[in-house]
Amino acid sequence: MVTDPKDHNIDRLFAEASGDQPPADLVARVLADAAALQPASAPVRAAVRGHWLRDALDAIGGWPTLSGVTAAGVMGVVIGVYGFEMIDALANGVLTDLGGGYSLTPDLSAWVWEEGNV
Amino acid sequence: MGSGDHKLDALDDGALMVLFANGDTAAAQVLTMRLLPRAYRHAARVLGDRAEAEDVAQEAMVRLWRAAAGWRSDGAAKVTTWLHRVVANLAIDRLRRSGRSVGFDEAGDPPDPTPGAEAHLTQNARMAALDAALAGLPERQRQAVVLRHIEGYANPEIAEMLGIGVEAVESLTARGKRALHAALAGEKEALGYGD
Repeated sequence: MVTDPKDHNIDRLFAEASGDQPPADLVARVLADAAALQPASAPVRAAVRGHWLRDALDAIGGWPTLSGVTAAGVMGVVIGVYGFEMIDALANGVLTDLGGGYSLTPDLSAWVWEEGNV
Repeated sequence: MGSGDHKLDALDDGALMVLFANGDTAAAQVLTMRLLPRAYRHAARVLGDRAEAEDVAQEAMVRLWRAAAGWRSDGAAKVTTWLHRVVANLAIDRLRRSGRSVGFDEAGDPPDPTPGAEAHLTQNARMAALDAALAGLPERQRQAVVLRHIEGYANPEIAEMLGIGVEAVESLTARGKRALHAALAGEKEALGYGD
């Protein structure tokens, strides 16, 4: 391909213009704009599946949540299955002490006494 | 200008836009290094004024950052096409507001870029001569010449950037280059290209 000699100078001028770079302070301003306008970092968690129990716990806030909020529910289920006395005995009477020495089941003795007087 | 982040350097502009929107600060650096020089050169050659070119390039990049949140990396739009379209529109707005716009019908003889009696020009002066010659071209012709001959885009890309047909781009670049020849004729020595 033969190049028109008339094009030579103007092509050199174009080539020189294509190397023109923005001044450093403009680069700095553009990066500052980017920092100001960039959405907050929202790192995506690695999509690695763990154990089902860990996943389930993570879903409700981890072990602290389970030990705090759900402990009462868990204890209720355990008492329902094994009976209060057994659990209290295994716990060396802690449950009775927590109740201030009163039974956690309704005391019907007064009702029986009143019934006997009728 | 290297970004120093080789993994990001391998990504295309669209993927970097998505990373930027997800909070990746290094993506902003790579995009700036890639795109700002193009936006700046485009504006500088079309406006013929470096300070105005800086304003336009900065504003175009601000719009780019704002557009990142809705950018689809699998979409058809190219980031460079989008950016040059913004630069072209911002530059035309400035030219029209300042009364420096040259329409198709009003283009007269290009201004004489001869810089007095100096035999050789510095690089800045050569760019000034080029800008002066470009300033004599109608807006579209000027934009097409810059995008084709300085930024090196293909005609279909330029057509998309300027919102015109490919044939129109071919015509604009051919006529624009002829006009530049005429404007810079006889400047071989003055431009410092003595061979």
